[in-house]
Amino acid sequence: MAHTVDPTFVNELAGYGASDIKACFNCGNCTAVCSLTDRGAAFPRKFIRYAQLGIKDRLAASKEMWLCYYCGDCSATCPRQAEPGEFVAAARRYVISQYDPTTLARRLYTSKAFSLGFLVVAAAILTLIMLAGYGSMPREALRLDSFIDVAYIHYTGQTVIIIAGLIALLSLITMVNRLSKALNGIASDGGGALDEAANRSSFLAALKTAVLEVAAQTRFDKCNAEPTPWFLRRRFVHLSIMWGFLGLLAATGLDLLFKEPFSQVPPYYPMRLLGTVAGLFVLYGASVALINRITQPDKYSAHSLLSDWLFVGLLWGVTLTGFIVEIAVYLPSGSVGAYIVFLVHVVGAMLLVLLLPFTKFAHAVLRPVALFIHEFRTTRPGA
Amino acid sequence: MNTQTIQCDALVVGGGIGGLTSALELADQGYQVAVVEREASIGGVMIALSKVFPTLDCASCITTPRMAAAAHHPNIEILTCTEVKSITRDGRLFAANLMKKPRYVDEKLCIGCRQCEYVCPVDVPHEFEGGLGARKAIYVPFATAIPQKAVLDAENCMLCGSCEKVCPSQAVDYFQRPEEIKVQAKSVVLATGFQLLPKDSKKEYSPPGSLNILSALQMERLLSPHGPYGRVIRPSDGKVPDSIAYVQCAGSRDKSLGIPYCSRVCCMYAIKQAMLLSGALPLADVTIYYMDIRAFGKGYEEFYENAKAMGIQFVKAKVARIAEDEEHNLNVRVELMEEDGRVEERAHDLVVLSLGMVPGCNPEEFVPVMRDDDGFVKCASPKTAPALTDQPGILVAGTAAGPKDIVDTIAKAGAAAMEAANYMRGLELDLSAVTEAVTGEEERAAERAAS
Repeated sequence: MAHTVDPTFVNELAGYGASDIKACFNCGNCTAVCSLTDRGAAFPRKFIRYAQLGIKDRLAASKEMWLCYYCGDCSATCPRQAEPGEFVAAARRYVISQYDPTTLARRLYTSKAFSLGFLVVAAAILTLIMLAGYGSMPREALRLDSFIDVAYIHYTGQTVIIIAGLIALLSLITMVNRLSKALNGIASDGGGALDEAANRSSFLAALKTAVLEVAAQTRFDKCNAEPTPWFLRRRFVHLSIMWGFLGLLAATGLDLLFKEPFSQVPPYYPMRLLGTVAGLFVLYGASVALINRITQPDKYSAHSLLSDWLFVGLLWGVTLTGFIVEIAVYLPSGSVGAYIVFLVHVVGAMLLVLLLPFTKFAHAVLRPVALFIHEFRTTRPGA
Repeated sequence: MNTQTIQCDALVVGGGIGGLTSALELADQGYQVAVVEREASIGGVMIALSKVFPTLDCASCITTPRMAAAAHHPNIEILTCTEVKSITRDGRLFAANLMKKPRYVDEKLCIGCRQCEYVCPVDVPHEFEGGLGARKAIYVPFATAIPQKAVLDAENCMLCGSCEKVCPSQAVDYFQRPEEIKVQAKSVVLATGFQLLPKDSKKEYSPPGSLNILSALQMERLLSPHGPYGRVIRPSDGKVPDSIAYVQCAGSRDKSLGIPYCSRVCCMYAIKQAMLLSGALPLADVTIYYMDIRAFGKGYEEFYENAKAMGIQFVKAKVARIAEDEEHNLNVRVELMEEDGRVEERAHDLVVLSLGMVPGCNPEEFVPVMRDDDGFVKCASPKTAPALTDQPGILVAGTAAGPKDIVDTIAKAGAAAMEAANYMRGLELDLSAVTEAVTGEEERAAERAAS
């Protein structure tokens, strides 16, 4: 397959955070030093080469960017200080933005001004909508149902979820399409007719591998060269955020389905309990992640784009305000502060959902599917 | 403290092959030269090498005659065990303060019979052998050392008195003190040389407790006919290695170590050692892991081609990590980028690090010259007059100005000698007349421009 060299592509990638990959002289140190390199996944040298040459489809078809947990070993030992680890992150941001039909992801990743503007405008609009449903702030108890009309929250929330979901779905479809096409182009297609049963069994095997990897992230621990206590390991922090977030999502969804809005429930009510535990995990994980981004103890956190801050910061803020509201609900009286915190919580949560398909969080949707596709391609007979 | 004063034409700092060449070139022209060497023998790094590329000549056979010629030259005075404390400009001359460290052996009395060495009960790792062999606490530095005089290592000596008793010329003197030497010279040649980057500089290449990872200079000693073991065996267990790996650019072209430059000699010395190993151990596999092979000199490319024809394996890969197992075998982790790009841990019995060159000392500490960003002495006009520093009368020879092979070191040492001679010749002429002629010409040019 012929490729056209595009030397300007490197500059485009620089906008996504790949600081200096022109410096790379392709020695292969990064690939060999990586603890995760194994059969069929040799990164990052090969696809830095794709980027230098501007072969975008090869770059986009690389499985490696979805495997990297960014331990920073490659960047720390790179003889050219070309920051290969940061390049992998930038490549991931790039492909995510390529799959996004709205082009918002590209703008959010590459422009600080746009990100901040978008955030402020979206927050302002959401706040105005909420304030349109404003009733009163009773002091004798925290009566959230009389603070903002529940219909405003529900319908806005649902709209935001539907918009984000649709965009995520479109991104996902685009990715599946392009990835399959690119992989078909790369494979010399010597497979021939596939046996239906073998195909199904390798489908299940690939599904199992991808689900296990996403759910437990066992390979993550290979990335910790330095001895770190388990609760500070990036794997634990990442799992806390991921499972905690899923728990919160489940609690909120079940609440919506089964619980009367704003009705008082005891703290041990199953959904409330799930929400509390999950929230604690998210709050812990997001706090450690934020502290690391501020103190920058390793290569991983040395380069933080605004889009990184945005997701983890919003998550942290929403969880924290959620806890404050939860406590306030059980207090004997209401206060203006508690009502405002509730407003911030609701708007923040909606912003978080709205940004899901674009920010750092996009990988949560795209990564499992990409892993599955790659796994299926390599495990199925004839591949 | 005794103070000795020496007056000479040229002061050469460093008694390696570069410094000795400069000294000999100047002395042959009739200039009086003093050579300062901090070690107990002259000869520098070259005298420790086994053979030299690309001719595979014996290194001692080239170095020893030069050392002897310098030592016996009527116009050359050699000061060993001596360090330069400071060199300052003193009118039209240079004033140097030297410190002669105690040898605890009277150089005039010692006859180099080594009786002291035979009776000394202390064994210490031998620096000259890269720490592989052993020496005594009182010892002649190495077989071809010049001067052939013993030196006592006060750090390890236990003052048993055996050497003093056995010495036939009563040369052992436990009460020697440091001596100050003042030198007045018309010019200075800096030939302070290089050192190899320490072996443990890159943590990926120095697993804890590793015994079988050698520096290239240690391998030179193993290959040398009068080396520590007399043959090539690996240090951990004395096994004759079946498989030897060379790790190129171990401390060159590596910004993560702060060394962005190429050390220029490692490709060639690795190829040379690989060839010598093929001769010493005909059944052993020798693999060289490299990023690029830089065979730029006369006869170098042919040398490289010969090595390939001899069956030495060249693998294009930057070694990322070296791990050592319980048996002290080594696993070298590389990406095989010229095959299918898979990453492999390849087992070897012995690994040699082709360590890069870093400056032998910081000249700014004792002499007012500028350094480049890489730490080597800065050349004022590196293309047209590579032996000149930014200071008139202070010249630079050999690897003091940057990594170089022996050929270039000797060429540049000759250039430094010539520049020093030119400078001293200029001092002898009536400088004021020359200056006036120049300024007069400038004034006349200014007048012409004004009219």
